[in-house]
Amino acid sequence: MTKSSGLSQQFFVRGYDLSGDVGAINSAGSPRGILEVTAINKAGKERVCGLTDGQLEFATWFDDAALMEHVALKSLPTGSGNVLWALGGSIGSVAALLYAKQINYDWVAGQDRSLAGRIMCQADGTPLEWGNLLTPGKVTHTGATNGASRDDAASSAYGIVGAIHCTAFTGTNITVVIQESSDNGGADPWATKLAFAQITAAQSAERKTATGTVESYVRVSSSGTFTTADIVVAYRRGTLQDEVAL
Amino acid sequence: MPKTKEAKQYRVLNPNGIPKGVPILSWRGSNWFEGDILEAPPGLSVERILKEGYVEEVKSD
Repeated sequence: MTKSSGLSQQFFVRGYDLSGDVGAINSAGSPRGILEVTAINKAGKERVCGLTDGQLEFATWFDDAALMEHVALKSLPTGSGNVLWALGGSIGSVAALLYAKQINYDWVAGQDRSLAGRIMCQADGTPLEWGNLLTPGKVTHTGATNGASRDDAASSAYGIVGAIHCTAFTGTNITVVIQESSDNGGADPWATKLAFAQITAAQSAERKTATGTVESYVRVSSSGTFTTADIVVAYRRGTLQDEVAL
Repeated sequence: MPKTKEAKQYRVLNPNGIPKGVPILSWRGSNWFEGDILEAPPGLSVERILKEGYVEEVKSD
């Protein structure tokens, strides 16, 4: 909620934590198409918004260790996957959410012997979305856990988007949900607004939506049969400006 | 003898399509799942969850 630097960022691709490999975000954008619809009775051009889009290009250093960038990115999967760029490591830190296709795996071997990759992810069906972390960065749950809450000061009426990445998992299953309350669970109980699909293995990620009113307090809650689960969760409240209602 | 007033009972619903086995409501360490009967303990307000369809009142005959 203030002017800040870009220190302590985190970066996740399809359930891989690449925070230790990614060196820079070259671009993160949500460009919009513009349609000219000028009528003959106008002296100036009229425009309306067209399709939304999203892209996120990042620079990474070569790393073929287990679960690091080469393992995560080299296969260039044809399906789409989730990308999460967290600009901090606290509940409420701003985060960019993108459901996208990874379209390249390009490298430059510099004369200084550096090995630098540039990876582009382009949106599939939804724009790049700006939300907030609902966990303090990547956290480890060692059993059913209710996370600390975030107060957005007011309820909203246009649904919610949630994104989860599970980077490590030991156990049978874990279900992570986003719960809401109007008074932080004081008299108004926590109600489950959105449930991510049950996770049974690491390197999984999901974007999920729910419709309707979302109360001012939200939190993450987990349950299941597991020993440890490393997860990061981010969310975005839907707004009146969303082109397609959640 | 006057009939004693019984606490209202509510049936827990699942308005957001939450998978089975996941609690719909949580409050001070207690969880309620879809289909459970909630007899609101002192201090728990049902106003919002009733309005938003998380519970429905169980009508007694």
